[in-house]
Formats: sequence, structure tokens, C-alpha cells
Amino acid sequence: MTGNVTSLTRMRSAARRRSETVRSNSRTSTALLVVVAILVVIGLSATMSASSTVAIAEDSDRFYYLKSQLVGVGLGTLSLVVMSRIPYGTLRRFALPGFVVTIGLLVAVLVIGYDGGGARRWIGLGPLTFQPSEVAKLATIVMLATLMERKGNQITTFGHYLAPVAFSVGVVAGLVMLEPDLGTTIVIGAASLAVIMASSTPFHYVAATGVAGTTAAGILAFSAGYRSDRITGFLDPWSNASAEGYQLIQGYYALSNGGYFGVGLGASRARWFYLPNAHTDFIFAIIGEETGFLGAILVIALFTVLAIVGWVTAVRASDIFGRMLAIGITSWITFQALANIGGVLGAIPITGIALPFVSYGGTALVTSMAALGILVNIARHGGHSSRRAR
Amino acid sequence: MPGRSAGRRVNSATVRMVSLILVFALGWVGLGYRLFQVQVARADELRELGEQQRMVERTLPPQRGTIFDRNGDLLATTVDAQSIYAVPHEVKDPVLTAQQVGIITAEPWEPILERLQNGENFVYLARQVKPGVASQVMDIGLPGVFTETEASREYPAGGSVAQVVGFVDIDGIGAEGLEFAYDDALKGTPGSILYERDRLGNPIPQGRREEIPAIPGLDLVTSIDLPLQYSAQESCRRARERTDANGCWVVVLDVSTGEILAMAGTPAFNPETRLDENGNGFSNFVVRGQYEPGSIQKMITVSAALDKGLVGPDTIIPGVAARIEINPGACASGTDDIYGCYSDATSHPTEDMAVREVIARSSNVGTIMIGRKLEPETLYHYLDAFGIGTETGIDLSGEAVGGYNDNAACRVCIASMSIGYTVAATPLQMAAAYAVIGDDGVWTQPHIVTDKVDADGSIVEVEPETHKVVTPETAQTVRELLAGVVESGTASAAQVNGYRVGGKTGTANKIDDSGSYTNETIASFVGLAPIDDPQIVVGVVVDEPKGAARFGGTAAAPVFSEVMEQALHRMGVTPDA
Repeated sequence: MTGNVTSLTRMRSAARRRSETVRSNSRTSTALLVVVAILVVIGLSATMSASSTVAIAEDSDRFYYLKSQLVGVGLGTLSLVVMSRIPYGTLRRFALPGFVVTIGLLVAVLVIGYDGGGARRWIGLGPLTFQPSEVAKLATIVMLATLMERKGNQITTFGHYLAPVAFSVGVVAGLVMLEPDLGTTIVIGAASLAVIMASSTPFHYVAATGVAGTTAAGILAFSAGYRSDRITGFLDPWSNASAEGYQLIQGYYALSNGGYFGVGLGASRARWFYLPNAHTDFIFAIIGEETGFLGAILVIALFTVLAIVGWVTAVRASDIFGRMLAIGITSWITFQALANIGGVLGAIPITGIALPFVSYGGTALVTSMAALGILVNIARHGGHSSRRAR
Repeated sequence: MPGRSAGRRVNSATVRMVSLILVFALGWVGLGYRLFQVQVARADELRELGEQQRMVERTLPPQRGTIFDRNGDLLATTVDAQSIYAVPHEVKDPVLTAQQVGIITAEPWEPILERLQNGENFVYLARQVKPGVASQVMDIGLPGVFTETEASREYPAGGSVAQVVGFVDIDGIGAEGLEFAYDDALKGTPGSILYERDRLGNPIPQGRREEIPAIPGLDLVTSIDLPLQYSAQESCRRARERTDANGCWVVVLDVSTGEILAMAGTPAFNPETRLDENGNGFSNFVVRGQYEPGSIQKMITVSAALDKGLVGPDTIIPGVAARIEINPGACASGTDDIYGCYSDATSHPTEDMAVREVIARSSNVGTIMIGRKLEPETLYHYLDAFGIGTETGIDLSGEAVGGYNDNAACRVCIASMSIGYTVAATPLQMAAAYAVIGDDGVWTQPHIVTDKVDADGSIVEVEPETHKVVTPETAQTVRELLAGVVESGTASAAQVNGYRVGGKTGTANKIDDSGSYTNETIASFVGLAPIDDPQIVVGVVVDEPKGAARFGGTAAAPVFSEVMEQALHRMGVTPDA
């Protein structure tokens, strides 16, 4: 009787916990979707404004870039929906084949890719272009998480630790650096480090890897002329206002012109050829000019919310694989946003990386939305104990 | 137990994740602060710098006023012309560029190359060329070569009226003639436009734009009658050829209004080259030249005596000899060492002469004897009143003042001035003095511009100054005397078919550089018609006519006849004879 009562109570409280978990999971995934939707819409508006001048100057349809971005949004939404429906555990089976294809694409871009801005980063597919390094971010995170999980408790020796890291992150980073694309390499490195940190790797390995990666990035940053120019431009933009500091200062002019409330959508002055890469790397300056401090701080707030929800998802993930994926994806998006906005604001050197979900760029949009789909899927399956998930 | 150890790992991983979150959180806070700095705290300073980069101010040049003749024909107007310029650092091949532009503009290419290489950021390759030339150059597509529209001043009436209208310099600023005198009225007020430009220099569609429109200059309507101007110019040109003279100048005045109907002369001035046919610069002898007028001055001497009632037209001047000596020994010296010996142009026995006859025969001795009846101060008064030694105030620049010697102790001077020596006057001053006689004793300021018209069509009429000189009766009497000169005196060549005219010849010897009189002359004739109700004054000056035709009656009177006839016809004056 008592036993029955007890077991009934237990059953009831278990049911209540389950329903709370479901509600909580639903809130988390909804928050992710809403944040991304707002960021994408902001991105479309800013892209339309910033790219129309470029399109007109190139003698093409003034909505050329907007249309292209809309295609990216369509494909990105599709991939988000698909990835959020596939149980993330399935990704273990696709990790290696996906990674191999990515390596193939990274090699292909070096062979058949076309040059732009002193680097070879794009493969032309008829009227479309494809940027393998964007796909590599996601593929590396999935591959690394899969390998780290398989190693499990064995990652107490350095050899067992180094092999999966070197195989996944090392190969990809090396290939991306050949393009060269230091910014993307750093993003991949940072996201990977976050994945490693979320695994059961001993902390001193993580710390050593972090120090080694940072040192390597620093050496690479000074090794090529255009990259050290960016550091010069960062350290003293005003002495080099027409050369190394030009882009940063034009970004300041755009932001300051926006003030609190902005000059209005489509009324940016910086987009009239003053601000280089206005629709890509420096789109944050255009948003700041057109929608003011309020619009710009909203973007920062949205990325902050995304980071918090991402980490909550990671903490609530039902297994270590989900946690590593969630940490990797969240760190990737967050780090990239920080680096992009920090570059525009002159807080760190310009890295030449785009603002996730916002900047113009189809491959990046599809890949990051697919990653977000995975995050949503992890969120939906969250709240269960790790024992049950395994 | 695997579960427990997994739990410990999860916990340690959770700690790591929290620290990761803290690192990122620090990043977000830092960015928010940075954003506030750039967009709010330092915004004014940065926005200012950004605006400086975008804002550009351009001057909007005003349209220069048009100059018309009295019939509405164009004397000066502004048209759009194309100028070809280069931004040298954008020019790829300076030599090729200079050669191509040189071929099309038909200019030597070496100076163009020099300009391309003089280190400036902006150089004109060819200014104010014909539209076809500019488009030919642009069709080649030379990098760094551009065209711009510039205002170019055109003078449709050409050289015949150039000495009056003048010209503007290459930048459109009045340099001579009416263009200079009326530059303030013609030039208008520049406007300005302030706009935001994109990095390529084009206006930003949504950008700020503040425009203050330019106010066009006033149009000028002049009193010049272009057909009369042409024929006056032509008469002078023929006279100059016929008499082998240095120059010939003619001015036609409306007697009562002071309006200049024509002001022409040779050597002709070319407004294109801005040189006259002798290679000299702009000059207008009618206004800028001063000379000793000689016998035409006698009109003033006699008018003064008549106005003062000292003589009448038929008063007999007794004992007029062929020669008069003011300073003892002057005539015996035979040179100019002692001044004061005056002779008539043709020798004659000592005789009694009526005032009328003195003028008709242009007797120097007779006129000096009339002049001696005047107090020096009285003579000065009439010289001043007739405008000798005072600018007429005509609306052209560079007018000569002239003058006379007002040393009353100089008895020679009084005698000399009576017959037009030791007096300096411009042809215009003499014409205006004769207009006094035509207009019943009233002097009227000569002028060329009659109306200034602004863009709305409102007209400012120019009111000339006037003053009284002699009584209408005196003027009437002098007209009769002047008619006698043409009808029975020294100037039969001045007659005009169908009209009674009156006037006076003058032949003055020129002074050489050392101050001695030479045999070279300046021959003049100034006259009025119709003499009973004068409408028009024509003054003619011929500089250094040669041979038999070197006198006022032979060199200048025929020009007067031709020009006066044309003027009377052009003005529709009814014939009276």
C-alpha cells in the first residue's frame, strides 16, 4: 500500500519532471530559432542596403546580392529544419564520410578555386560560388566530437589525445591556411579547443593546446604582409588613415553617424564606396549606422542570448557527444561574432571573418544554419541523464 | 563504477564550461563598452570627420548678362563651350595623349605635353573648344582626359564694335570696354551647392543637399545702332586708305539724349586675338585719345563771346590781318623759340571781317581778336561748361580727361586756346560740346548703356546728367554760323544730300616728342544735322592724313558727310533741304 503510494508519488513526480523537461527543451529550442530568425532578417536588411551600391557599380541588378542571399536563406532554413529533425546521434555515422568529403573540397579549392582578395577560397559552381572552409568548420567539430567520444576515458595519455586532434583539426587548419585564411583557421581552432575542453581531456593538455594554438596564430599573423598591415591598422589606425587604418576608420565614421537611433534603413552613407566589404566583414558598421546604437546593441544582445542558450543546451545535453557538439557549435558562432564585431570596433585586429547569420555569404549561411539545426536537435533531446542517453 | 566516474567528469567539464562562459561574457561586455564609445561617447567628433570626408561645396557660376544694341541685336552673349582637361596622374601615356589632343584641336602638341608634365593635379589641355572637337577627343577614350562645360563669351558683331564692347578674359572677367565698365552688373552673383558625395565623387542620393542658386547678371541694352556702327567703321576704313592716315575715328551722338549711336574707328580691333591690325592692344581713341583740337575749338570761343553779348553774328571785327603777334618778336623769330605768332591758313590782305565770316573762313587771327574781348575767367568758365578738361563720365573705362592752361598771366595761352591749341580734348568731349549747340544750350552726358534688365525683365533706365551752358538764342546763332561753314566756308565736303548741316573743320599740327610743332596734322570735323532742329552730332578725327587731303575739310569732312547721311537715314530724320 505504502509501497504503492510511494511508487505512485515517484511516478507522478517523474512524470512532472518529464513534462518540465519537455517544456524547458521546447523553450530552449524556440529561443534559438527566434534569435537566429531575427539575426537573419537584420542581415538581409543590411545586405540589401550595403550591397546595392556594389551591385550598381558592377553594372548588375541592384538586388543581385540580396537575391543571392535569399537563396542562401532558403537553403539555410531547409538545412536547419532537416538537421533539427535528424537525431544528432546519427551524426556519428556521417562524421568520417563528411570529413573526408570536406578534405576533398579543401584540396579542390586549392586546385580549381578562383582567387579573390589575395587568397583562393571559392569554388565556382555555374552562377553560384561555394566556400569549402565554411563547411570545414562544422565538419571539423563533428569529426572531433566523434573521435573524442570514441577515445572516451583513454584520453589520459598525450598520444591518445593528440591523434584525434591532429587528424581532424590539424589537417583542416593546415589546408585552410594554404588558401590562406587565417581568420577561419582561428575560428576552427577556437571551436575545437572548446570541444576539447568539454571532453574528458585532462586540463593541462587543453591548456598546452591553447597556448600552442595562440602562439601559432600569432606567428602566422605577423608572417604575411597583409596580416601585419591589419595589426598596424589596429594599433594606430589614425596614422594610417588612408591605408592600413582606412577600413577601421570608415567603420567608425559609419557607426558614429548612426548615433543612438541610426540614420534609417537604406540611408547609410558608408555604403557609398567609403567602407570596404560593407556587406560582408563590416556589415556590423552598416547596421550601426542605419539602426544606431540601439540596433547594434540588439545584435550584440542576440549573440549573447544565443551563447547563453547554446551553453544551457550543452549543459543539459543528454550525452557527452551532444555536449561537445553543442559547445563546439556555440563557441564557433560566439567566437566568430566576437571576433567580427571586435574587429569592426577596433577592440582586436581585423581578422576578415564574417558575422554569422548576418553577413552576405551563402555557404556560411547554409552551414551555420545547419549547425544551428543540430543545436536545436540537441536542445530537444536535453534533460535526460547521461546514463540513459548512452 | 563507470557511472560515478562519468559523473565526476561531467562535473569537472561543467566547471570548465562555466569558465569558458566567463571568458566569452567578458568579451561581450567589452564589446558593448567599445560600441558605446564609438557610437555615443566619441560620436560627435567621429561623425564630424566622416562628414568632412563626404561634404563638398561647389560654386555655381552665374550666367553673365547679354549686351544688346538698340535694336535688340546681340553684341555679346554667353554660350556653353567645352573645355578639355586632364588629371595627369591618371594619364597613361602623356606623349600619345598630347599628340592625339593636339591633332584634334589643331594645336601644337609639345605645349600640351609640357602642361601634362608640370606636376599639377589638374591641367587644361584646350579651353572653350567647339562641341564637336570635345566629343572627338572623348571618343578616343584617353584615360585621365575629361571635358567640362564652361561659359564662353561670344561677340557676334565681331570687330566693328569691339572697341566699345570690349572683351572678357579666359575666366570670364570683364577686361575692357563695356565688359569691364559694367562687369559688376553683368557678372551676377555666384551661387553655391553643398552636397554629400560618395567616394567616387558623385552626389549621394539620400545625402544632404543645400543649394543657393546663382543670380544671373543684368542684361545691358545699349544705344549702339549696329548697322550705323558697321557703316561708320567702313567710312573710316576707306578714309584711312584714301588719306594714308594712321587712324580714323568717328562718334555719332543723339543730340538731346546723349546716346552714343556709333563709336567706330580704325585700326580695327580683333576681339579673337585681342590685338588691333597694327598688333597693338585695346584702345578707343574717341574716349582715350586726347589731342589739340585746333579750329573746331573756335566754336566755343565764339559761343562764349556771343553768350556774353560781346559780339553778334554780324559784328564786324575791324582790321583782321593775315598774321598777329602776341609776344613781340615772335613772328620775326621764325621758329617756335618764342611763341605768340599766329597766321591764318591762307594769306589775305588786312580786312574787316564779320564774326560769321571769321568762322566760315576759320580765321585764326579773327578768332583770337574775338577771344581777346573775353576775360580769361570768362573763357575758363565756358571751357568748363562745354566740358573741356573734365571727363564726360561716359560708361567706358580709361577715359582721358584733357585740359587747358588756366594761367591767366599767359597771354599767349589765351590766344592759343581761342583757336584750339594748348588745349587737350578727346573726340568725345568735342562731340558733346557740339551737342550743346544742337540741344539749345544744354550739355548732356554721353552714354552707351540705356537700360539694365534683370532676369525678371524689370528695367533700370540710365538717366544721364545735364547742365546748361549757353542760352537757346546763343545756340541758335552758333548753329547759323556753323551752317555757313558748310554752305560757303571751309567744309563744303561735309554737305549731306537732302539735309542742311552745320559744323566746323579743324586741322591741328601735331607736336613731336621734343615738344615742337610738326607738319603732321590731326584733321577733325564736328557737325550737326538737321541744322534747324539738330538730331545728330557726328565727330570725325583723322590722325596724320598725308598730302593734299591732310586738312579737316578734306580728310575729315567727307567721312562726316557719309556717316551723317547714314545716321539721319537710320534714325528716320525727315529731310529739310
